[in-house]
Parts: sequence; C-alpha cells; structure tokens
Amino acid sequence: MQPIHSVRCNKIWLGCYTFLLIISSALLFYPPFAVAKEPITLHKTRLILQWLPQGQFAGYYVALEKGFYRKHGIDLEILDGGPDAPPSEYLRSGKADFATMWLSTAIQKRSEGMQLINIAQMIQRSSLMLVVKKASGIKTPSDLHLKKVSIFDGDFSIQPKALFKKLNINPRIITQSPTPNLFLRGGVDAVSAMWYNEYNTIFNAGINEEELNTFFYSDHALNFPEDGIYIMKDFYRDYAHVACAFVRASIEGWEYALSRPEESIDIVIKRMKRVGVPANRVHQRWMLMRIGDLMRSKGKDAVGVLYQGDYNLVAKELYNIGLIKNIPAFEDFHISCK
Amino acid sequence: MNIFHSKGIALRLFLSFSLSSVLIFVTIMLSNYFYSKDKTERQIGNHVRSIITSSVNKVESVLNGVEKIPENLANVIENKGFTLQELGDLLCSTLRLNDEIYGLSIAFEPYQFKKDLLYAGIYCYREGRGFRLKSFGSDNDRYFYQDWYQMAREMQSPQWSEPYYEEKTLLSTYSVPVYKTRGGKRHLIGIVAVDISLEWFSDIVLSTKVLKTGYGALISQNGTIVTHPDRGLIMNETFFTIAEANKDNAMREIGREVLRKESGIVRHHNLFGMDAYLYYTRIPSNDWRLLMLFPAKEMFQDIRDLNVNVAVLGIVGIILLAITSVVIAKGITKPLRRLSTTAEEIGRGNLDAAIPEVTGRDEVAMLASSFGTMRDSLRQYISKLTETTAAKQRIESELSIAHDIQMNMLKKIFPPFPDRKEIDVFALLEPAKEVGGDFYDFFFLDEDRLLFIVADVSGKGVPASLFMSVTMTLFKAKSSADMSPDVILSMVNNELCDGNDSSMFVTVFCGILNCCTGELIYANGGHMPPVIVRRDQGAQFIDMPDGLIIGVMKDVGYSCERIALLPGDRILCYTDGVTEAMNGNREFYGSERLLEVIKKAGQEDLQGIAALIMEDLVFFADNAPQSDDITLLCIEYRGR
Repeated sequence: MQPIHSVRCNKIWLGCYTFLLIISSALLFYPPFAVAKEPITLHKTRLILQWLPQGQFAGYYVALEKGFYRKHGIDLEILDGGPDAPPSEYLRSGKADFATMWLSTAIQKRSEGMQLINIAQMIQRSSLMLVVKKASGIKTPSDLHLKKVSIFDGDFSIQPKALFKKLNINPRIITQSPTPNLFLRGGVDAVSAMWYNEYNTIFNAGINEEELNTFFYSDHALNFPEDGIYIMKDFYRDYAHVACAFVRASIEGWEYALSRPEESIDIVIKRMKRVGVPANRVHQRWMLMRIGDLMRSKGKDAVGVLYQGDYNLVAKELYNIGLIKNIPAFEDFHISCK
Repeated sequence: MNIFHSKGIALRLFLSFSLSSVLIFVTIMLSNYFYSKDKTERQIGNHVRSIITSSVNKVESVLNGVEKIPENLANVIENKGFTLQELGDLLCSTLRLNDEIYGLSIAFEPYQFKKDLLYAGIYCYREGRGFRLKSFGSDNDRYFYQDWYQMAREMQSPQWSEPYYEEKTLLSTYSVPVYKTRGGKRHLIGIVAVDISLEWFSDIVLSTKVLKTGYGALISQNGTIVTHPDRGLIMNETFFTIAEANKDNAMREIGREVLRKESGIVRHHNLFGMDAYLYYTRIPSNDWRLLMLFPAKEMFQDIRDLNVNVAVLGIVGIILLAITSVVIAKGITKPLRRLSTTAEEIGRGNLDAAIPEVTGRDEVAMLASSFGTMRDSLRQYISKLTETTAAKQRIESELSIAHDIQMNMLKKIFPPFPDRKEIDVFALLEPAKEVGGDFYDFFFLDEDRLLFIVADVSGKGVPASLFMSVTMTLFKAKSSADMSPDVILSMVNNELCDGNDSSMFVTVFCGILNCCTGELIYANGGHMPPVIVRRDQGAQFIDMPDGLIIGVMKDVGYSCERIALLPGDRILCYTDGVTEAMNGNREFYGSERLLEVIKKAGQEDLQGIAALIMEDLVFFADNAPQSDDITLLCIEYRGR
C-alpha cells in the first residue's frame, strides 16, 4: 500500500521529470548534444527457461526489466518454459539461443551428441531433497526401505535412484505429481521437494519445519549443481562476445535481484500474472532468497563457475546408472566467460 | 467560584465526593461492560454458529449429491464391452442431468481398458452452453501422475482434490477409484472423476453475512483460500502465506488449529487485515473449512454505544455531584470563615466585633450563637477585670503610702546623735512586703539613758504594720526616765492586750543603756537574743531573762538583766528575718552563721557590719524570695 503523502511527492517529481524531459529533448535535437545512448546494433536473441515464470528465474527477468541485457548489447526475449517446452529442444531447433538447464540434463544431452556447452553454472548446490514427517519415525534415508516415496520423474529421479542404490534400500516409488498434496494427505511417507519450492509449499500448508525431517542429496555425496546457462557450440563460435555479455548481464541481474528482493519479486509476479499462474509473494520471496543461497553456496565469486569436481561427480553418477555411455571432456563442455 | 480559595473542607468534600463517585461509576461501568460483552459474545456466537451450520449443510447437500454420480458410474465401467465413445456419451448425458457439475471423466489404469492401451481416458465437460467430449492420455499427458488420479489411487478411497484452475474456472475434482475383484484379488481398474465449479461455493459462502461487514470464506485442506471477498487472495494465498507475510506466528497457529479441529472460534488482532473473530467449521465431505469472519469492533459496537451513553451520563452526574458538594461546602465554610475572621478580631481585643448573622438552626448557627455568648462573657469578664485591676492598683498605691509612713516612723538618719560621742547607733529595716511588721526605735529617756527596742509583730502586711505602729507609739508614750525595761514591757503588754481581738502579738527586745556608766539593763518579750561584741573578747549571744511575747496575756511579769559594757563593746539586735532567712533548699540562715559573720566583721564600723550581714544574707538566699522583714539595730558604747 502506498502512503498518501507519496502521491503528492510523486506529483512534484512528475513535474520535475516533465521539465527535465523537455530540457533534455531540446538539447538532444541540438546537434552537438545528440549522442547515441546505446550500441546501434543490438543482438536479437532468445532465452528459454526450464519452467514457468517464478522466483527461480528472477535474475533473468530483472536483468531484462532493468535493461542490463540492452546495456550489454543484447535485445533479449525470454520464453516461458513449462512441461511442453523442453529447453534442450528449443536450443536444438534454434527457437532459442540460450537455455537454462540442469547440469545432469545437459551432460546427458551432450553425451547423446547434442553440441551444447555450459557458459555459466548458476546454482552451485543441489536443492533437491526428500521430506518426511517426523511422526512417521523416519530419521535417516535408510529408514525409507519399503516405504512409499514419491519421486519427480525425469532428471529429478537420478539422485534418488543413485541414493537408494548406494544405501541398498528398496522404497516403493510413486511418480510424483507437480504438487506435494498426496504427501500432505498421508498418501506417501516421503515426498520429493525443491528446497526453494515444494518445501515451502508444505510449510505454507501449515506444516511446521520442526514437524519434518529433511534429507538433502547434497548432504549425501550427490551434490548435482542445478541451473546453468547453455548455448550451442556453433552459437559460441559465431557470437562468443554475445554469449559472455549475456552471462555478465545475467549475473548483474541476479546481484540486483538479491540486493532488492521486493522490487524483483514485483517484476517476477508481474510476469507470472501475465502468464496466468498463481502468484504468491511470500512463496516467491522464499524462492528468490533460497536460490540466492544456492547460487552463493560457494561464495559470491563462484556464481557462474562450473567446478570440474562437481562436473565429474555428476557425470560419473550418470555413467554408473547407465544414463550416459561416455563422459564428455570437461574442457569441451564448459567455457568460462569470467 | 474559586473552590481552591477555600481549601480545606470544601476541597476535601469536593475531592472525596468526586473520587468516590468516579470509583463507583467506573466499577459499575466495567462490570456492565464485561457482562454485556460476555452476553453479546455468546449471542452472536450462537447466531454465527447457526449461520455457519446452515451454510455447511447447503454445501454438504450439494457435495453429497455430486459424490453419488461417480459412484453410480463406477458400476458401469466395471463391466467391459463399452467403447470409449459410448462411455463418453454416458458421461455427457449424465452431465446434462446434473447442472451442478462441470465435467465428468473416466480414466483407466494402464492396459485395464484394453490389453494394448497404456492410456485410456475420456472427459465430457461444459463449454459455453454445450458439452464437449475429449479423450485424453498420452506420453505428454500422463494422467496417472496427476493429483486427481493419483490421490484416489494411492489413498484407495474417493478424494476431493485441492482446488485448481482449468480454463479460468476454479474447479475441484471428486475422484472415485474403481476396483474389480479378479481371482480373489481386488485391483484398481480406473478412476471416475467429477469436476465441480467452485463458483456456486462462492455464491453460498459469500451470501452469508454476519453483522455489517462480516463475511464467509472457504479454505481447502492445505489452507488455500478458495473463496474470499478479496478475489486477489483466491488460489494465490494460503492462510499460512498471509500469516507469513504479516510475520504473524499466532495467525499461523490459528490456521493450524482451524485445519486440525472440527469447529471453533478464535479472535485475532489481524485476520485478513482486521481485528476479527473467526468461526470455523469443517466441511465433512472434502475436509475443507468454512470460515466466518467479522470485525470485533462491530461485535461490540452496541456495547460501545451503550458504554459511551453511560459514560456521558456518569460524567455529567459526577460534575453535578461535584458542584453540589462545593455549594454545600461553601454554605458551611463561608459563615465559618466569617466566624474565624471575627474570632481573630476578638482575639486582637476588639470585643465589639459584630458576630456574623447565620440563618438557620444548624450546627454552624449554634456555633455562631456560642461565639456571641463567648464574646459577651469575655466582655463582662474584661470589664470586671478592669475594675479589679483598678482596685488593686489603688490598694497598692495605698500600701505604698503606708510603707512610706511606716518607714518615716523609723529613724533613718545616722548617726542619730552626732553630738553624743559616747555612743553610736545604726539600724536598718528591709521589709519583706511593702508594709512590714518589724520595727526598731531608740531615744534618750534622760540625759544619759538611751532606750532601744527591736520588735517583730506577728504576721505581715498592713495589719502587722498597724499593730507595729500602735506598739511603737505605746512604747514611746509609756516609757519615762524612771522606768526599767521590764516595767515598760509590762505596761505596753497590758495596753496591747486590751482590745487585741485579732490576737496579734509582738516579740520585743528592750534595753536601756546608760551612756555614762556603760550599764545596760534589758528585758525580753520572747525575742531573739542579741549579740554582744566585746572589744577584747569577740562576739556572743547575751543571756536573756525569761519573758513572754507581748500582746497575748495581760499582767504578765517580765524580769531584767543587766550587764556592764566597756568602751568599744557593741550590742547587735535583730529579728528572726535574719536567722530564719531561707535559701532555695529551704535551709535557715541560722544564728551560728550570723555570729560567724559578726566575728569576721571585726572592727568594722556599725554600718559596715550591717552591710556585711545583709550582703551575706543575699549571698545565702541566692535569689530565693525574702520571706520576712529583716531588721538590724547596732549600738556601740564608746564611753567618755
């Protein structure tokens, strides 16, 4: 809610602004002052995100809204992801030049022969987790043996399967719907959750944190770095400077988003409303702040860096499970713009 | 009216009246407030309970009706033989008969509909005014993993889904699992689901009104806002995200209670932006909660109005009471203050000060009248006192005159006989009161013989002095040259006894000194023995002949003694005022101390000796008042 006095202030500012506008446009048309403000040719490009608009992608929306991409010479359009829009397909088909993807997804695609490269690893720590109710008596992941565990499909199931194999347990796996509702009704003993998303959804359904036990895969030697920025190798060959400008603008966007969360949430929610997905400010704030934690879990300077150790761990697990036949060379996979 | 001017009774009365009535008033008001609050709370509570119950019943009757539909359809799909199209037509015709439902669907478990069909789903739903039938299920539409399907399957019981949007319509789905027993084993063949639009929920819930601005709301099992007058909250917020946004843990706890309990009531200072009461009841079918919210301030509006009324009346009453108390106090204190002023004036001596008029017959009037009486008495007393004082002053002046006369009767010029070198005489009399009873006298009876007397009349003051005058005159009149002291005493005694009705008496020492020979003849009428100071032998009391005090008994005989004085010898006569002088400890001066002083005086002249004795007496008395006349008479024989 805006306090009443600010309306009056706004009027004054509006007056000043109009005045300045008139003066500056007069100056602009006066030849010696007519200077171009931005590069004459902006590189037109598109970004596809993994999912529908939410705080998980705040940095990109903020960078777009605040003009950081334009500042770096990029005229960007952000495409909303979702179940019907797999980013790798968009990259492959050229519907988008940039895509955000999980590292595990990207390695698989690369192993399958798709010539994509990682130009920035944004999320350093895996936020995937299992959540159980304390009342169930499950205290460690080993207790999940023969319990009903709901697991997201696709790449979200790699870590759980690896973990269960490691622990040599055999839970009854239920493919998880996009909501934790089945868990909330007691239909399963354990539910998969992203720390920044479903975990908070459970909290927002009235379950207190102290009533839950949580198991992060990152705590069980399965730290799969998540969101990274990917492009096709060809694109990099032709537009290396655009690719790195994109990374810099995105990181700038994230820094801005994390330092001004409320403004950034406004931007995200505006986007969400446009697409028509339910938007909850508290939830989006939680998401943004947790994404910030995950990105900066190895320090601020690590944002954008893909560590070879992490890469090897993910690749090895994929290989062990049989999801990839060969491990792509790290140097071939990641190009640092930093 | 300046009440503080008359501090005291008026102020005290004002304060105690006001304070006690404020106290009483506040007590009444508070008890009234709490009683009516409790009553109102209960009444409105009952009212709201009945509203909420009827709303829940309305919702329930619809939900129960809806729940029957898939249950009926379940029987149909258990029997094989229908094509998907036939099932779809069945769904559409059912939909046509049931206005309250939005869509109906049947979805089969993998390979349950046909052995080679992984997905088999058919959905009939409303579109505009018509119906639309579509089949669903593919690799991109894996319905098995959707809530509506999965929950019924995993929970193995019919389930109402959480609310969700489909094409901008808010829906909830009731899914019924359908089982078939084959070979003694029961297994799931599919789910029959019915979608209902939640619009009619809103109509029921929002049409319930409580008080002026109270309203109903609906939350799902997860606390998601399903209906609320603020449409922005619907589906976007849960009870708990609102609590979180407000950083209000108490509200979160309320939400948990609402989801845990069947029904109840809570009050919270910030529920959807207001201090409100929240009544909640569980909707049995889908386990959602119907909420009734209304602002606490509305609930207590009537009570507040009543209390404002009571407060205004009370304050007016207290002010009136205060004014009354001041007026009454003024009625009392005003005459009191006038009386006090008058009393001060009387105190300063103005006995003619007018007593203020006080009308009425109350205590103040009585006090005023007593004041008048007191003033009159005082006036009378003062006038009597004035008279008495005048009389006393007159007597005192007369006494003073008498004293002067008495003193004038005594010889006071020393030496009295300057041409007689053979003797010296010195005397003094220090009266205790203005007029004393002591006297001394001396005169020559003939050429050589000197008569001297020292006497002490019983009592003091005017009577003693008169008696002394008489005695002194008698001595002068009766003594003649041929008489000896005892004869003189006898004659004076007889004269005094005649007509001495007042029984006064006199002690007398009477001596006759022959200035030629130094012979001293003396008689005693009950007096103290004088001291003889021999020039060469010191001082001693002289031997005294017997003799009764005079003025008591007629015809009493007195005897004489005689001693010879040598030149330089001295006789010192005195009265009991000397020896019986008292100090502060009521001790007597005593004859021994007198003798000592005289011995110490040595060869001082007569006046010096007298002065020494007086000085020692004053020293001895040490400011104790003189109780008796002091008389000294000293005679020195010097010879020829």
